[in-house]
Amino acid sequence: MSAIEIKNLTYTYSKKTPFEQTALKDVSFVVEEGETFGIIGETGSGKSTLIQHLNGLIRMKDGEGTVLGKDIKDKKNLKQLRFDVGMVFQYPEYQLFADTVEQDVAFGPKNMGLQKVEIDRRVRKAIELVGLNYDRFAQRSPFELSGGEKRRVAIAGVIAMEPKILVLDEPTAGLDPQGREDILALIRKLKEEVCPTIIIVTHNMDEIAKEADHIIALFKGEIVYNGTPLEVFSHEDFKEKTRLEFPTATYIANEIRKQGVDIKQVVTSEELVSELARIKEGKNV
Amino acid sequence: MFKDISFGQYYPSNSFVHKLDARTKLLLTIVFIVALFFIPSNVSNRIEQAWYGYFGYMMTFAVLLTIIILARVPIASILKSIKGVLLIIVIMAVINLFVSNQGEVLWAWRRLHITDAAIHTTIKLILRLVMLIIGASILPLTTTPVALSDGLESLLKPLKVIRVPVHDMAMILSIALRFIPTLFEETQKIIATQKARGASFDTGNIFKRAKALIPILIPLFVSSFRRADELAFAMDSRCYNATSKRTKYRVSKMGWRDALAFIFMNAYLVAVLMDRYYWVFEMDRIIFGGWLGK
Ligand SMILES: Nc1ncnc2c1ncn2[C@@H]1O[C@H](COP(=O)(O)OP(=O)(O)OP(=O)(O)O)[C@@H](O)[C@H]1O
Ligand SMILES: [Mg+2]
Repeated sequence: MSAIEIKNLTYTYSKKTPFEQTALKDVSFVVEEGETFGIIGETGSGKSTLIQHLNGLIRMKDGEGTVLGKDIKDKKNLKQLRFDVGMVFQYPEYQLFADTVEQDVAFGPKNMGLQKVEIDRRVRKAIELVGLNYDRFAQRSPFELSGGEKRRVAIAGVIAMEPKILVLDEPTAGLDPQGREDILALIRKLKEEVCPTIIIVTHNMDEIAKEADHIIALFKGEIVYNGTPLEVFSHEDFKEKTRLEFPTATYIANEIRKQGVDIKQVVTSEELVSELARIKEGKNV
Repeated sequence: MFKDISFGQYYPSNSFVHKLDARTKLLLTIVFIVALFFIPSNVSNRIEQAWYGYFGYMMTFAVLLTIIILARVPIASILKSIKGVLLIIVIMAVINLFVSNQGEVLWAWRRLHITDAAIHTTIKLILRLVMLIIGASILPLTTTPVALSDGLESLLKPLKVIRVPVHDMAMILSIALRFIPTLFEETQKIIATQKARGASFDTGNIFKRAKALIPILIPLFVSSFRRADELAFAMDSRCYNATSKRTKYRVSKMGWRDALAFIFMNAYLVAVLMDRYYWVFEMDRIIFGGWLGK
């Protein structure tokens, strides 16, 4: 069973007003269980609109969809959908509101109607999982933490609901390189330990090339590419069709190829390095 | 982006009325309201003159129709502004219908009674309120909030002589207006985030519901203060100073359209006044006298 199946999804904001804006056009895709799924596209291409359909924050009007076999359009599934699909929004640190980190993280589990013991267990586990020391952070105010720590607390607030699918909208936006690397490491850890199916929305091609098993690229609300990173970034008209950049490694390899060197298609820096090593060996022999 | 100005009632278009200067529209809205209140609405104790005033409302209707056609705004958006106060109008009309003692009693039940004069005053009251709201709704429908606060500042400039800080007030107003859509968007985002964490805002009793707002209000306050801080810093670092003489980026000028609009609306005002005080036209009597009078 696939984790998510979306068929012919179309969505228009402010329908029938002068502000009408079609954000998604006939979007269809499948996310397999255990997959890291990337959604890329320029600003305003509809990424955030798309993911908000997955947990019913935006009710689906045109199209069909199932999440873990449950119909998205069925109102009865709405509550379960919210808990099955954990959603970490852009700049999640702005959602913090409680007096202490512990209370903030407990907000989701409380809304699920869990027992106090179970809530406490989940909160402790989630805070530790995102790499914060429970004893040191649990009783502090979320507002006096650093930006990176706030983001971790916000992620913990979603993890504590133990979702089966985790969706992250621009999880690394506005962080320095070290902060970005930390968050990516955290996502890998979460994938391994609690939630194997992960959907990442991003502008950063290097990150997605490395992390994702499968990518869809949106442009003006339509899917232009759908495939593995290698397939998607192999398209020569990728830049024109999506107004995005190639991953750095792909760009370098393309430039080298233009010089007449026979280099294979690559998407990550590791692949580039081993490809260059192969060529060097070949030349030396 | 488009959604940024979709707040409030502004209906984007390129019509004659949209192109008028905001000051013109502000002043003419006042002219309209003044004129409307000079149209007689009582029956002046003489039921034989029940028709007194209906011609004024007819003129007003024609004027409103002309403006709406010129403004090219959909009737639906105008009716929407009436919908908000419909209940108040209905209540006032009902009270008015039963309390008026003048005229001939047509219907009575215990202490309640309806007279023929009451029917006329009630009809006129409804006409006046509905037309007032329609007329006043044209301004926000055809003027962006920013143009509106600019226009207000310009009109209130004379108050500077008596040391009213007009510029500061206008600046505060335009900043507030500028941030309403931003805060609205922010609120939507925060609501989405908390909903994603299973929050629900429409279940439980009133205390539960009020408590459910905390996870929205606190992040909203935090981000408002952050924004205010950033804005103050940005203004400071550009050496913003409210005391010096400032020029405007958007200089609005009155043109032939404004002249036409002034002539049109003032002609309407004069017509209303003449109709009320001099009975020049006697149109009330000519048109309505036959079948309403006795
Ligand atoms: N609440 C809204 N009302 C009206 N239009 C909206 C709304 N939210 C988004 N849009 C429009 O829908 C389109 C898609 O927006 P969306 O937020 O999904 O883009 P995105 O791909 O997430 O962009 P970004 O990378 O900047 O986050 C845009 O053109 C946007 O202007
Ligand atoms: Mg987005």
